[in-house]
Amino acid sequence: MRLLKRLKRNYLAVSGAVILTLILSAGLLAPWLAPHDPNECVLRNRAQGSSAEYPLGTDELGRCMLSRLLYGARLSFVTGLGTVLMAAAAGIPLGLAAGYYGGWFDNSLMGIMDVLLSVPYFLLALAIVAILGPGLLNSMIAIAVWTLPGYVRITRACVLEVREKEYIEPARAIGHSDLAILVRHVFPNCLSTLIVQTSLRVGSAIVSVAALSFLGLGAQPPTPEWGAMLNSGRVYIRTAPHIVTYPGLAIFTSVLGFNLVGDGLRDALDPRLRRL
Amino acid sequence: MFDYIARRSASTVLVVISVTVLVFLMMQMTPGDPAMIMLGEYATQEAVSALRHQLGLDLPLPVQYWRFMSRAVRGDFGRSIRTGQAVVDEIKAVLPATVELALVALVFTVLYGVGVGILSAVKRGSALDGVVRVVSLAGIGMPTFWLGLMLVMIVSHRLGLLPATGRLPVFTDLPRITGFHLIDSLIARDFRALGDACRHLMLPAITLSITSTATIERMTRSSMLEVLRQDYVVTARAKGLPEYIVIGKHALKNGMISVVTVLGLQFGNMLGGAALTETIFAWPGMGRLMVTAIRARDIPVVQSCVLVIAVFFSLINFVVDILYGVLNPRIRIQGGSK
Repeated sequence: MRLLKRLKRNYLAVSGAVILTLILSAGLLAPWLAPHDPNECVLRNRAQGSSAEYPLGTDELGRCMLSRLLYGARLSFVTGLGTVLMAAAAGIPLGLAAGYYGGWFDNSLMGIMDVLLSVPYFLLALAIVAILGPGLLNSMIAIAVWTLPGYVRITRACVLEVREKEYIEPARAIGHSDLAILVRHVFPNCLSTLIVQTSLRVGSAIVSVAALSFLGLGAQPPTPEWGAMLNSGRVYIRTAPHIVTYPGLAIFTSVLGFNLVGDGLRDALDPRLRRL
Repeated sequence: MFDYIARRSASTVLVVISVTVLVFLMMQMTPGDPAMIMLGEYATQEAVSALRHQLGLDLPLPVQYWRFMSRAVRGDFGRSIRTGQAVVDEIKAVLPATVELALVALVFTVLYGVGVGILSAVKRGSALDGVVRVVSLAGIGMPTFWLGLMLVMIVSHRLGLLPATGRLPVFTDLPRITGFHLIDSLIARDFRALGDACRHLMLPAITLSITSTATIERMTRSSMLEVLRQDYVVTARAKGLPEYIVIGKHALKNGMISVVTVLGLQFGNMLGGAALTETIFAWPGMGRLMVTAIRARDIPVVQSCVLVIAVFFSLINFVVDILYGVLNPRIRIQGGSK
């Protein structure tokens, strides 16, 4: 509750939350809100401006832009959250183990993470897509691998801090196993840092996955993914600029939403990370 | 200082070696037999195993790695599966375009990011500061590829101010000396080509720099704000020094330390992220080469591009670390870890 109160006072975070709620409900209600089937091509209506039938016009194959954008909102949330959750699911246990046990495991794991971080991030993503082959799931994995070191490092740093706290010693003394101590005592104390981290990463995951789709390496046609829509509409930029305007605006708005909420959560939950 | 440089060099060498191992393993991790990919799916079993032997794919991994590295060091990155050309020639043809673009983008980042960051910190709380903060927040979340498209649409197509594609107008005859059009046109004293090259660079460089510019602007602002509160700045002001000396000399020196480190990182990210910008502006650079190669599953080309950029990036980071040590004596006296 205190958290909500603090968040409410931050008008930027509130506007971020409003944006996210709008986009999320647009995505969830897409089957009811969308005036057309997102993949229905009506070739004689190609690349038209907005009209009563097509509020945001049609794309290069005569598909309803609005319907495609609404369905794209679903994908965008799923890819953004899915990517970050993949990274968190792998990174948090690794970070917990590395921080708690230390030793050779810690050293070699952190060494690998340093190597991953020593490659420019988009290059790493491209390299992974090159290995796995193009596709939406593969590009999500690529971005997740790039997100992973952040999770490992933050979790590990947090464990190192918590491990020395007074309440860990008694837990060990009464015979709790390592796993129980990690799960029951260490992890909950790292939670707020990790929540902040997650909310801040979703935005960049959405842009990065969309970027790969824009290069034709992520979602493949006819999937109504925003980045892929920009890619296929790119050729028509002179004649039908609306095809590349709306999907980008949608990506931009949703990323802004996540970043505003993430910044707000950081200020509310983790004063140590607060910037000036 | 010597100790510090030695430590940084050792860790850089370690990172470079690990990166090469990672890049080498790319080929191993790719599903499918490279020999099979090269020969196509209708190749006979004998032909495949003959090529496997010829490529050394039947040797144990460490031996393969050794061969890969000893060739790479000599500049032999193998042949492209797609075109059959030597990979090193393909990279040589496109590398200058990308580096030139990234360098110009870096100049934009420094000029705008640092300049406006300082201004915004000095004029904290003013209307200007407010506008700058909103713009940089938007810049960080901006999908660069969309910004590029919008710039093409508005600046090139609607207003007709700047060209949208390529590095020079078609039929421009510029001798290739360094591959950097800005330098080549200066050497050739062809000032029309120089102007053209500049005009072609504008939009791609703005697009490529936008995220870094916003990041650097925010960092500069916050680090300047921190420094401006320090006692020695108050002392400098109390001595009656003019404000531009207080800010330009006393505050800036300490305020820039962290920004310099991040600039190095940003330059690396520009090289890696150039694929997007280059695709939008039909810029014949390394990023586009990589994307084409990935689509064609041309792993040798991808591998070499990653290797070149990643090693380059490690070297930049090394230089930045040394610079950091020079700028900040505290770092080289303490253990040297960041």
